[in-house]
Amino acid sequence: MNKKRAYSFGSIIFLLALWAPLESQEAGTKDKSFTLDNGLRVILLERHNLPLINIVAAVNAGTKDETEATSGITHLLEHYVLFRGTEIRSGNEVARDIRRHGAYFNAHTGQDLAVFEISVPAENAAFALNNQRDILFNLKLTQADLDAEKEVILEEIRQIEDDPFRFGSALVYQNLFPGHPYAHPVYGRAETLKSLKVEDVERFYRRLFIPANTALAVVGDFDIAALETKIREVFGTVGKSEFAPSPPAKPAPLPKTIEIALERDVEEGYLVIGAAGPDYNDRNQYAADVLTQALGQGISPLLVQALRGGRRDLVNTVGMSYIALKKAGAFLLYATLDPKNMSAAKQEAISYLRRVRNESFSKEEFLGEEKQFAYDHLESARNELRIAVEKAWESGLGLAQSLAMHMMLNETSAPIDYLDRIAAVSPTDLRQIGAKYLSRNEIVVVTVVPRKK
Amino acid sequence: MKRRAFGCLFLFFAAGLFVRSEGPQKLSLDNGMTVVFQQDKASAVTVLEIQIRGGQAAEGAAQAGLSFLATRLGIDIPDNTTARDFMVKALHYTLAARSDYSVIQLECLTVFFEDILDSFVKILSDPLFTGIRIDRIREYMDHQRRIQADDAGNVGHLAQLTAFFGDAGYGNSVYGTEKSLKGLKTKDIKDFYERYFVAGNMTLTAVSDLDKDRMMSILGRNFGKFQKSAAAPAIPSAAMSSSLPISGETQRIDKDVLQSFVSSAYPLPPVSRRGFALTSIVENTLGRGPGTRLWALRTEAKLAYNVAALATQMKDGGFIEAFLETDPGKEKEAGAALERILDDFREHGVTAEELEIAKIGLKAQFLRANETKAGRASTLCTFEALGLGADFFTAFAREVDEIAPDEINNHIRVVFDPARAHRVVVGPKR
Repeated sequence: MNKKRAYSFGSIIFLLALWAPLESQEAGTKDKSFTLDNGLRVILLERHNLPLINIVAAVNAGTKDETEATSGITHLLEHYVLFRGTEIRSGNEVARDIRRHGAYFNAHTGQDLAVFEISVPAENAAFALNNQRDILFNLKLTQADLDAEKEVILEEIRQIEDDPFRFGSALVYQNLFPGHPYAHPVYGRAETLKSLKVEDVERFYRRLFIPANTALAVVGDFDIAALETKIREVFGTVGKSEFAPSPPAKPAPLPKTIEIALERDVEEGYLVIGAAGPDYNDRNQYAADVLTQALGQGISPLLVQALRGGRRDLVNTVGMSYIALKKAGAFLLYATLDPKNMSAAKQEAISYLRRVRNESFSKEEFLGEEKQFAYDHLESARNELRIAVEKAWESGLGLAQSLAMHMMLNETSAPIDYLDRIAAVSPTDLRQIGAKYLSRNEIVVVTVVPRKK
Repeated sequence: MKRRAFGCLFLFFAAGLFVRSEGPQKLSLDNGMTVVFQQDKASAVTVLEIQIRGGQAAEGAAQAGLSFLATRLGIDIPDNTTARDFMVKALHYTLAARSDYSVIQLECLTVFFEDILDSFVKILSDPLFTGIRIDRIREYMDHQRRIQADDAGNVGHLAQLTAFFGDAGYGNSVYGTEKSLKGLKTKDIKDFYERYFVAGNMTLTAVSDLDKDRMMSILGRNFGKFQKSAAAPAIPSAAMSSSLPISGETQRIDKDVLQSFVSSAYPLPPVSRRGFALTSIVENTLGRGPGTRLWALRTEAKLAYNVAALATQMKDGGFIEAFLETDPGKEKEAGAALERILDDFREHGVTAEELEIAKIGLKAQFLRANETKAGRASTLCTFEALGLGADFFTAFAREVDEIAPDEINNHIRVVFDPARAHRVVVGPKR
C-alpha cells in the first residue's frame, strides 16, 4: 500500500520492549492469553484511550519457508490475501468492505513471518475479526488473480530497485546469510515469480496458513471477556490441521566480505554495511540493542563522531539499526555522503566497526579531568531505549504487531523484564558484542554512487 | 463503554481522543506567545512543537532555503557540554521548514523535559550567526537537496509545486537551490530571525503527562525570553501566480529510473476549514488505498504498485495530485488510464453512498493519525499555522459530516478543471 509496506521488521526494541510491562502500564489496561482448540494462539490487551480496535495476525511463514524455486511466494501470497478475494467475497468486495468500515488494512512479509493487520473503529470489531478470518483461512486462489498480482509485485520490485537504501538493505540480507533461506529476497525475483503456478501457491498456503501456525493479538477499546467469546466464535470454527513447524537452522557464518558497487542516476552517495548479529532468543540481544543506540542513534552517537568529527567530515548522515530474526540477526549501518568521499568513508566506517571492541562507552571508564569531557554513550543508549518503550505504548496497532510477532518468535518461557536487562548491560558487554559481530572481516558492503557520464 | 450509547458517530469520534484527559486548550504566555496544550498520561513522554510562522512564504526573491537555514541555525548546539547533556538525556529534536512556517519538534522523557528546555531555549533565543556554522548548514542542505533529487516522486512533486507557484516561496525546495544558498548573507539570516522569531509570531504546542499549571510555568519561564512584538509580522502572500503557464500541458523530466512517475495535478484555493474538509474527502475517495477510484489502476489495470492521491494544502493555495509509478514502457498507457479516471471523477462526482463511506474512513484515519503524542502535536501545530485554529482538531469531524453530495460534487467540478491541470512525467529519456 505504501513504500514501507514489506520492509523487514524493525528493531527488536519494538517487540520485546512491549511484552514485559503489560501489567505495569496505564490504569484500566487488562490482558489475557489463551489458545483455541485448533491451535490459534491469542493475546488480548484491553485499553480505552481511543475508540479503535487493532488486530494483528502473525503467520509463521516467510522466506525461511522458501526454496530457490519458490522465492517470493510468501510475499506473493501476502498480496493475494489482502487484495484478491476469498471463497465468499471477491477482491473488490473485500476492498469495498474495508472502506465501509473505516479500516486501515495492511500486511508485511519478512524472513520469519507474514503479518496481517487491520484497525477499525471499535464498533466494527466483529467485522474486522470476520474479515481477518476470511482472508487468512478461506482464500480462493485462481491463476488469473495470481497472474494479476504478480504484475503489481513486478512494479514493486522496480520501485525498490530505484531506492538506494531499500535496495542496498535488500542486497545486504541476500548476501549476509549465504545458502540459507533468509538470503532469499523477500519480494522474490522476477523470473521466479513469473514461473509460480497457482498449485505451488495453494500448496504453500494450505500448509502454512492454518490456526496452529498463527498468533493473533488484539489491542484496543473492548471488553476482554466479550471479545474472547467473539474470537472463539469467529476463529474457533476454523478446522484444525496438524502441523509440526520445523524452525530453520542457524545460518552458517559468512565466509568472506562481499562488496557490491552499484551505479545509479543519483546525486548523493549511499553506503550500507551489514554484519551478522544475535538472534531473537539470544541473551546478547539486549547488549546489541544498546550498542546500536550508542553507535548510531540520537544526538552525536559514536559513528557520527567517527565519521564526521574533526576534519574527517566524510558523511552527511549516518545511522545504525539492528534486526533480530528467529535464527539470526543483522546490524546495518546506513550513510549518505558526497560520492567523492565514498572510498574514504567506506574504509573509515569498516575500520571504526573493527575498533568498537576497544571503545569506551561510559563516563565511568574515564579518569580525572577526562571524565568531565567524556560522552556517556551507555547512559544515552539506555535513555533512548526507555523513550522507545514509552512511545511504543502510544500506538495500539504497533503494540498489537509487537505482541503477535513476539508470540511467534519467542522461545523462552521466563518473563522478560526488558528495561532491567538493558540497565544491566555494561561497557564490557558492548565491547564483547562489538568484538563478536562488528570486528569481523566478514561483512557485506553495498555502495551506490552516481553513474559515470 | 458509555460512549457507544450516544449512537452518534461524531460524538463518539470527538470524545475518542480525550478519554484519558481533557481536549487541547489554547493559552498564552505573558509575552503573547500562543500555547496549545493537552495533557495525556499515556506515556512518560513530552512532545513540544515550536512553530515559527513565515516559512517559505516569507522568503524573498532568490532567498529559497532561508526559512530552513535560519531555523536550523537557531537550534545549532553551540558547545560540547550541551551536546553531551542532550545526548545523555536522549533528546529527540527535528526541524522542518514548510510552506507557511518552520517547526522544531522536541521529544523526551518527561523527567528530563525541564532541564532540556532550559538549555534549548537559551540556544534558540540567542543563536550564534557565525560563518562557519552557516557554511556547515548550507552544506547539509545541499546534501538534503541531492537526496530529494534522487527520488523520482520527490522530483515530480517539486515540479508540480514550481509549476503552480513559480520559483519563489512555495514553489521551491525547502532546501533552496545551490545558487540561492550561496547568495544568502549572514545579514539576511539575522534579519529573518529577528523578524519572525518573536513571541507574537510563535506558537508552542505541548502534549505531555505533566499538568497544565506545571507546563505553563516551565514554558513561561523559558519562552518569556522572546521579545513581545507590537504586532505579528506581516507575511507576504504566496498566492499562485496567474501568469504561470498552467493549461493542461505535460512537463517531462528525464531521469534514468526503473519506474516512471506519472502525475496529474490541479490547483486548490487558499485553505479554509470547509475547503480542508472537502479536499480531504476528495483525497480519500480518489486515492487512499483499496476500493478508491485510483486503486483500479493497480488491481485491474496492473499498471502500478504505488498509486495515490495527495493534497498539498497551504495557507495561500495548494494543489491535489493523482499519481502512479509504473514501468517506463507503460508510461503512456498509465497516463491515459489516469486521465480517464480523473475525467470520470470530474463528470460524475461521487455518489451519496461513496461520500458516507469516505466520511467514515476519513474520521477513523484522523483518529489513528493522532493517536501518538507526536502525531497529535503535529496536527494541532499545522492547524494553527494554516489559520484553521487548534480547535479545528475537535471540529474536523463535524465539518466533514456536514458536507452534502451536491457540495462535494461542485467542489470536484471546480477543482478538476482540465484547463488548469498540470501533468508531470519523470522517467527515462525517450
